[in-house]
Amino acid sequence: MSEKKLDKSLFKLATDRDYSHDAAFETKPIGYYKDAWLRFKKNKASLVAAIILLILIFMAIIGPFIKPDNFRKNHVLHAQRLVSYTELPPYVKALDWIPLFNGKRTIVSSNLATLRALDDPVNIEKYGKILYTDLDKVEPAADGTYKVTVQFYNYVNYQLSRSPMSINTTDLKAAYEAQGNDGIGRIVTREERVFRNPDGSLVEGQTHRVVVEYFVFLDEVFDYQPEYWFGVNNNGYDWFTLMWSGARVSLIVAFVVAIVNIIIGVIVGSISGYYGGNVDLIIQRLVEILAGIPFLALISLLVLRWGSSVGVIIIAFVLTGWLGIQGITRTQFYRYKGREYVLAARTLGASDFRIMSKHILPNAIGTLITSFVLYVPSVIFTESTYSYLGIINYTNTTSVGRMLADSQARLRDITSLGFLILFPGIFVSLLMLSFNLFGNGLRDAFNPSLRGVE
Amino acid sequence: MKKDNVLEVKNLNVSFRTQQGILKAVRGVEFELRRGETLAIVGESGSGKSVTSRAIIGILAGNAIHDAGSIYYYSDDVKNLKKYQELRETGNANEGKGETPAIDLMTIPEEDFHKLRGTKISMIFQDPMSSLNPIMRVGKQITEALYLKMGVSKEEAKVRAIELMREVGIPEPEKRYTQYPFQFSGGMRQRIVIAIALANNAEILICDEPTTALDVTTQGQILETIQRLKVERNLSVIFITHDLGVVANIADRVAVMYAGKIVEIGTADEIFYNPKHPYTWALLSAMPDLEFDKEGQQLFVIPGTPPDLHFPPVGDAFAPRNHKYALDIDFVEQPPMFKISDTHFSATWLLHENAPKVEMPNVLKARIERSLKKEKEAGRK
Amino acid sequence: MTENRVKALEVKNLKQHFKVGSGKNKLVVKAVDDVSFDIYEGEVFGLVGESGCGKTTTGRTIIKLYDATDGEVYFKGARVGGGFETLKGNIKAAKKEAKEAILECKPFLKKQVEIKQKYKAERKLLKKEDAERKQELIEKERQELAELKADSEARPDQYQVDNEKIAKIEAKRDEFIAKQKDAIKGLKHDNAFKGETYEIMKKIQMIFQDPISSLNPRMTVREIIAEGLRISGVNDPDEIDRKVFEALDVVGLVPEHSFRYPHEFSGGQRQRIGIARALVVNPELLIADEPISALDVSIQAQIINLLKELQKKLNLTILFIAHDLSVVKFFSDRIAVMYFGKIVELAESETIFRHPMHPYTRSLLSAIPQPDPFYERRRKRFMYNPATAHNYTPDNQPSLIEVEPGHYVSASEEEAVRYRQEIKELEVKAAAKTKKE
Repeated sequence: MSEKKLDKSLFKLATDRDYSHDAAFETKPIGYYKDAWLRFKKNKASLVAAIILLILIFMAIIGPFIKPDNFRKNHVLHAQRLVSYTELPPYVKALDWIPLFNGKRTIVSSNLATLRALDDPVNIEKYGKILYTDLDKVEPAADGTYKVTVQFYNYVNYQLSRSPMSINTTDLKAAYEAQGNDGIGRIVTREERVFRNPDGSLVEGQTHRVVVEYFVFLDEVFDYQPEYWFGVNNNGYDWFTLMWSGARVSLIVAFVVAIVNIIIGVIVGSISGYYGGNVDLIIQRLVEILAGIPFLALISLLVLRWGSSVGVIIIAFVLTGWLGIQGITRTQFYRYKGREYVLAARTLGASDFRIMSKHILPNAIGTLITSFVLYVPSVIFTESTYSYLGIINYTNTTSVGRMLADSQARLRDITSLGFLILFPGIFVSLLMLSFNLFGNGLRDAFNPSLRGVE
Repeated sequence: MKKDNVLEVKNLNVSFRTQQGILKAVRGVEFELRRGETLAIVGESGSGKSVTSRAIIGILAGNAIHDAGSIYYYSDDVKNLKKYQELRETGNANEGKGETPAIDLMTIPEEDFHKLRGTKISMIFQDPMSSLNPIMRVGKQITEALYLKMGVSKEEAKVRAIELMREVGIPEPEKRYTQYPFQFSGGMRQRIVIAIALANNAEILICDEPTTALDVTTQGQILETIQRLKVERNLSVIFITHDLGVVANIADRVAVMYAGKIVEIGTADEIFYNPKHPYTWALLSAMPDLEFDKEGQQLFVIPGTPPDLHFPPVGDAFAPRNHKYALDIDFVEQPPMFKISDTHFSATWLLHENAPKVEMPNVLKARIERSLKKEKEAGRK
Repeated sequence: MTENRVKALEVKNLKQHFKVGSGKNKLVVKAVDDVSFDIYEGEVFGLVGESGCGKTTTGRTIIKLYDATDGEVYFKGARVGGGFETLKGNIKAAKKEAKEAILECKPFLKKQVEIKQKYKAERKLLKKEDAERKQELIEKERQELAELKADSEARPDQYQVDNEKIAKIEAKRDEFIAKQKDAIKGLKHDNAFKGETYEIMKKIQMIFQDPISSLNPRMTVREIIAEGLRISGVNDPDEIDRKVFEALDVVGLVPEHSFRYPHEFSGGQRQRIGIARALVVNPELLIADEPISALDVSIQAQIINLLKELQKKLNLTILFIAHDLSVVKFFSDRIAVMYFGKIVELAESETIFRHPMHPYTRSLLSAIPQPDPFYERRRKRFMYNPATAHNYTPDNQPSLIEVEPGHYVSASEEEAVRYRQEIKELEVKAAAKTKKE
C-alpha cells in the first residue's frame, strides 16, 4: 500500500468516456520514402558516397564552363608559338605546395644547353643570370644525360627562344641593348671573348665575340601565366575541360542507357512475371536467345556499320542491356503476385494493369531503384572499357575511356606525365565506388524488414 | 529461497530504442517459477510476455535497454559460470539465501549465457519451420545441440538423438533421423524443436506460443507431449500464450500480463474460478462458450487496442478499455499488487478498501458456476 | 423453415484440382473434391476444417481467384463461374466413342486393326531374347494381312464401307461436341470478370486471413479502402472521403487513421481495415477466410462481434471459413465440416455440437480446449484414423446422406442406418433429462 493520500472521491466508476472507437495515433505518420531516408541517413558510407556522386555529376555538367581555355582562344595569333605548349603538368597556384599541382616537371637531356632551368618567376632584368641558375650545379648522370626539375610553364615559355649564337661585334653596348625583330623579344648576351683594357674599359675598334640568345617571353606577349588545373595533353587540350566533357558523355550515355533499359526491362519483366504460364515461357526463351549474343560482337558490328556516334552507342547498349532488369522485375512480380492484398484487389475487380502498377510495382520499386543505381556504374565501366580498347571511337567528342587510352600511349615517363592517366583514372574509380556504395545504402534503406534493427 | 524456486524475477524493466523514441516494453514484472511447475504467461500481443522470456534467456534485440530489475536463477550449475566465480572471490556470491547458489541473469556476460542457453535454459518458438534449418537433416540438428555444448562423441550423440526423437513421440525415429524438415508436418516439426531444446537436459523450458500456428488436434498432441516430458524430467516450464483454453489445459500457475505489467497472478484454479482483475474477467468472457445458446448473445468484447508504450500511460494501462469497471483513480495512479491469498495477487484498485463493490460480468459468473457444478457432479460419480 | 428462404449462394459439385509436377511425377492434388452446399440469404454459414482440408481453396474458387476445375457456382440464381473439366471429358469420350463406331462401319480397316492388335499383344508377352519367335510372329502377321488384302480384293461386297452410317455418326458426334463447346464458352464467359458478371461479383467480397499481408504496405489506409470505389469509377475526392470515413466509423476507427500506413496498426485494427475495404462497395455476400486465426484471442472477440453486428445491420450473408470450432459455433447458423477436400458433415450449428455423427467431427470437437481447468483435466481427446474408422469398399462408398432433417453426413448406407439409430437414442435421452428437470 502506498502512503500517498488517495482521494476517496476518485474511487467511483468512470463512465463518461468514449470506448467505442480507437484513439487516434499520437506518433507522426511515416511514409515509405521517409522511412527509407531515415535508414539511409544512418549509413555514413553511403551518405558520403551520395555526396561525392552529386559533386561529380555537378562538375560534369558545369565543369567545362568553369575554366574555358581562353588562353588559347585569346592568343590565336601566336598559335605557332603555342604549338609547344603541350604536355604541361597540372598547375594550381593556390595549391602549389602539393607536388602534384606545382607545375614542375623533370627534364632529361644530354645537351646541357637545351636545359634552361628556371624556378623563379621571370625577372627580366636579371634573366641572364637566372636563366642558368641550377645548371651550374647540375652533374651529369652516368650515361652522360642531365636531369633537371623545372617549372615547366616557364620552361616552355623560354623554350621558344632560338638557340644561342656567337656573333662578332664591335659595338658591345649595342649588342647588349638590342631588341628582337618584332620588338618584343629580348636579346641576352654573354661574353665569350671580349677585349678589355687593364682598367676595365672596352678596347676600341676590336671585334668582340659574344653569345647571343634571342628570347621571346610568352608571359610578356601574353598578359598572364595560365594555370592548367589538370594539365594539358599532347594535343594541347586543357585536360580539366576535356575530362569533364568526357565525363559528361560517359554519364549521359550511362543514364540514358540505364533509364531506357529500366523501362523496357520493367515492362517485359512485369508481363512475364505477372501472367506466368505460357507467356512467361515464351518471353523467357526469347530472353535467353538475346542473352546469348556477345556484346563485343554486337557493338563492333554496329560501330562498323553506323559509325561511332553517341546515339549508336546508346542503341548498342539498349539492345541487350535490359535483360538483367527484366529478370529482377520478373522475380519481384512472382514474389508479390500471390500476396493477399493483390488477391484482395482482384476480388474488387481491379484490372491487371492496375494491379501491376499500383500494387506490385510500388512494392518492388525499392529493388528496382537499387538495381538502377548499381547498373549505371557497370554501363560506365563497360563504355570506358570499350572506348579504351578503341572499339568505341567517338568522332567529335571524347569519353573518359578514350582519354585513358590516349594517355597510355604517351606514358614513357610516368612521374612527369602521370597526371594524364591520374585524373581520368581517379574519376572512373571514384564514380564506380560511389555508385556502388550509394546503391548498397539504398538497398538497405528500401528494405523495410530492417526497420527497428539498430 | 523458500519453496524450491528455480527462477525469481524482480522488478524487471526493459525498454527498446526505436525510431519513434523509447518504448517501455516491460514495466516492473515480478514472479517466481518453482521447480517442476508450469507457469503460463497470458497476454495480448504487445503485453511484454515475449520480451520477458527473452530477457530470461538473454536474447533481447540489440536496441534493448535493461532499465532495472534482476532475474535470479537458482541452480547448482551456476557454480560453473565465470560471473559467479568472480562474485565468489569478492565475497558477493550467493545473492539468494539458502543452499542453492543463485546468480542474477541480467548481470552475466555473454559467454556465461552460452553455457546456460540450450543446456539449462531452453526455448522453443512459435513457427517450427523457421526454428529448423531447412537444409540440414533433422538428426544432425539434434546432435548438433548435443555435441556442441556437452562435448559428447558423435556416435553417442546419434544414439541419444534417436532416443530423444522417440521420447517426443516421433514414430520410426531411426528412419526419420536422416530426413529434412520439409518432410515433416507442422506438429512433427514442433516435436523436433522440443527434442533439440531438451537434448541437454534443460531445467527450464520456455515455450513462446508453440502451438498458436498449429491445428487444434496437433495442438492437443504437442501439449500432451510437453506435459509428459515435464513429468518425466521434472522440468520447469514457462508457457507463453494468449489462448486461455490451452492455459487451462497445462498450467499450474498463471500470470496475466497487460501493457508490460503483471496484472494478476495465481494458481490455475484461482485464476479461472476466482479472478479479480477486470482484464482477466474480460479475457475469460471473450472466449465463446460451447455451452451457451447463440441466440442474442454478444461476445464480451474488449474494445480498442493496447496502449502505445512509447507513451506509457500514467495510470492503470487497462483503464481506457475498461468501460464497465474503470475508476477515476485508474486514470491517475497505477494500482499496486493486492494480496488475495498466499498464491493469488492482483493489481487493481477494485481491491482497495475504498473501492465500490463490483461483480464480474454475468456471462463469466454463470459459466464459472456451471463449471463448478459439473465438477461436483463428476466428483460424486 | 428453410423452404421459403432465398438461396444466396449455390455451390454445385465444385472441384478444384491442382496439377503438380510433370511427366512421371505428375500429381493431381484434389484440394476441393466435389463439394456442394447452399447458403441462404441472411445466414452465416461456417466452413470448418483443419489446414489442408480445402476450405480456403473453396472460398477462393467461389470468388474466382482460382478458376474452378469443375462444378458450378450460382449467386442469387445467376451462374457466376464454373469449371469445364467434365465437359472436356465428355468431348473426349464422345470422340472416342464415335471413332469406335466408325471403325465398325469400315470392315476392312476393322479387321486390319484386329489383326495388328492381336499380334501386338502376343509380341508383348514375348521375352526379349526370343527373337526367333518374334520373327515368326512378324511373318505370320504379314501373311495374315496379305490374306486379308487379297480377300478384300476378291470379295469387295463384303468389305463395303457404310458411308451413310458414318455420316450419321459423325453428325451426331459433332452436334454433341458443339453443345459441349457452347457450354464451355458459356462458362468461360461467366468466369470472366467483366461487364455484367463484374456487377454481380461486386456483391461478393472477401476478408483475408493474414492482417499483415492483406493490406498493401505502400498505400495509405484511405487508398486501401477506396480501392473498390476507384475501380467502380468513383473519382471525386470528397465522395471518396465521405465513404471512407463512413466505413472507418462502422469498424470503430477514426478518420485520422486514414492517413496512416498499415504497419502502424495492430493486427486487430488491420483486420478491421480489411473489413472496411470489403464493406465500402456494399456487398451482399461476404466470404470471411479465417479472419481471426492470426489474431489474439481477445481481439478475436472484437472482430467477431463486429461481424455479427454488421451482419444484422446490413443483412449480410456470410461464408465464414475457420478452424476454431468454438468461434464458428458462436457465429454461424449452419456449419459444414471439411476433411481432405470433401464435406463430411453439414448441419445447424447446435446440432453439430449436440450430436456430431461423423467420427472426424467428433475427434475435432474433442480436441477443443476450454478455459476450465476441471474440464480440461477430464477431457479425453480422440483421434480420427480414416483407414480404420470406416470400412468403405468399392461398392460401399460414402455420400452425403440426410440422417435427420437438415443434418447431412458423409456415410455409406449402412453407416447412415447406424447414425439414425444413434440420433433417435440421443433424443430419447435428452427428452428424459428435460423431463427430470
